[in-house]
Amino acid sequence: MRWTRGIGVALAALALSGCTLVPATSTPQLIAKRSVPFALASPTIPFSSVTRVTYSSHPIYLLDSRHQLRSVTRLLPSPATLLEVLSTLALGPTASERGQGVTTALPSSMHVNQAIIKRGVASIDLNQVLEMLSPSEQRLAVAQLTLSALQSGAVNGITITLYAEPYALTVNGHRVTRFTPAMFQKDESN
Amino acid sequence: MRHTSLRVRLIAAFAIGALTVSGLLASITFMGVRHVLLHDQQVTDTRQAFDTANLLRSALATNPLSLPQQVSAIESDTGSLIYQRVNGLWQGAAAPGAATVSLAMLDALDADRAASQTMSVHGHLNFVVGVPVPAIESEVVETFPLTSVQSNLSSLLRLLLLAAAFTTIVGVLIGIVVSLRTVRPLRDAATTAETILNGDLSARIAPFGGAHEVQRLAISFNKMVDQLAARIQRDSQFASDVSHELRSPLTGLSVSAAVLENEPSLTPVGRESVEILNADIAIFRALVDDLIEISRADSGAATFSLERVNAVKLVERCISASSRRLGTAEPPLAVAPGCEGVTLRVDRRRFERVIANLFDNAQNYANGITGVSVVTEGDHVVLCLDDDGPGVAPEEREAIFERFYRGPVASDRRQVVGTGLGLALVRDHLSALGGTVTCDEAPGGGARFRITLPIEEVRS
Repeated sequence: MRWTRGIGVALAALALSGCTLVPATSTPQLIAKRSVPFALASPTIPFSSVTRVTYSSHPIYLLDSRHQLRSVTRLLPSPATLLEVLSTLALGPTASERGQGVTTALPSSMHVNQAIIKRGVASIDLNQVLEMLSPSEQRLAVAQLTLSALQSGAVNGITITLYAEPYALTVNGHRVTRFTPAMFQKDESN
Repeated sequence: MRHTSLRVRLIAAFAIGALTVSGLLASITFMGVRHVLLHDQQVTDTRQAFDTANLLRSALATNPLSLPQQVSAIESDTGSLIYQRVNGLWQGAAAPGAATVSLAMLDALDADRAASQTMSVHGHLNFVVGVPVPAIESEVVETFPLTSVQSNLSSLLRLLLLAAAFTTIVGVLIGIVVSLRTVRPLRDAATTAETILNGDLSARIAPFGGAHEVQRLAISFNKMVDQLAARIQRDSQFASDVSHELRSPLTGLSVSAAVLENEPSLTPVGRESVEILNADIAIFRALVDDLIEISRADSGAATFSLERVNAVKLVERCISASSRRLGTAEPPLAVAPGCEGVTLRVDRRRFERVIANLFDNAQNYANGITGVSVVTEGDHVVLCLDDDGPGVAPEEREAIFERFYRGPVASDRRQVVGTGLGLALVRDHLSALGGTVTCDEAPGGGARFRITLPIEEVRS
């Protein structure tokens, strides 16, 4: 009977078209500008002393696949403080950088408590995770911190404290508490 | 062409109807609920994306270091993922893939237009909202998983499918009940009609409750059968009355003809005329006798004298009597093993009349009976009488048992020797005894009349 077959086909078509759980859309739906709240479309920030946030490029140092120091850049709100630069360093490589074999010796649980520069020397206070690394890893981690701080004004090196306790590391056979860029620049990849 | 029964059609109609209605309702319900749930979710997510963009703008302007913690807190609370793009570069540890943020979405953001899109990422649907924030030279993109909505809709769909299946089953059950109520009167009417067709004019349709149309059908049917029975009764009575009225003058005519036949003064021509007259009177008498017998059967006035008799002995006696009456040699009788002890419960006179009529029929039209056989088949005894004639054409094998039916062989004869009621009486008598008679082709040519009668008892 043709009419019953027709009803069956119509029902099946209705069921198939209507019962997709949630349909995906092929193109985005534009939101009207008047519907965007908080003056987000405004070029300036209303009711704020900072009317506009601009960005500057800052180099930070990570490790390549041969565990040599490698410089990559990050966009940070300008002007960026040393603390912001080092906090960005602590976040590690991006997904695309990880895809290229870029790593970091800094533990993901590392936290920069304080970072200030006096007379070209940066005083950096960290949590204690640095001591949990092997000596060679500690050397690479300190190198990353020293070279990344260099571009923010720490031209004479850095000193590190772990929760205010001085930190020292044996470099080239000497016990060192102030780490200068010269100690590590030979480890930098070209 | 295959015919589907009315009952099956009714059940199928109810099932299809229930499935159609429940399917439509389920689809409409599902689409409505989906629209509401999805719309509400998208409105909420869009509002959340605007809140997130505002928060990012404030954090970047006042305390950028607090940004990661604030983003993590939002992602943890809403289950969303937040991405920031500055001057075309994705910030943070991870960048969204092309499956998460489409090129069309990026184009919209580049044109400083907020946009939203539902996208499937690795089989999971996400609602993606992109908001350009010029004050921080960024575009903020937030993706919200639609897992909860999908789960709710999946549960709803399962529930609706179950409800549709249940409704269909209920429809089938209602269809069965309705079809039973609808078809039963028709089936009863058909059974009653078949009973009447088999000769039982007392059968009637029992009065139905329910639909007026069905009651009307039953009443009309019963009235029709009443009138038909009355008509047959009147016809039978008329035939019986006429036959009885004819019998007296026929007897007088017969006696007068007999007297005339013995008159010595008759000339040869006169004697020949009297002989013809006697032959015609004999045929006339046979016709009147058959008419009386058949009208008795029709009116239900026929009486039966049933007795238990040995089947083989009864057949032997009937063959002997008929052969002697016709002045022919007795045809051979073949009795199958085990038939000797078979007992029938019959009216002896009627059975003898059956065999005599078949012998007469064979003698008149088929050069006599050539053989008789007796076998048993199940709980019936089967008696076959083969003749030596040209046989009966297949299309006539049922018609020859009609009253006054004459086949081509009988019609071709210049002189009509039978009454035209012999085979009709054979069928009527056998039917009254619970038996049947059919005509077939004999193995050696000619016709075979096959009689079946129920076995009363088998004695070893």
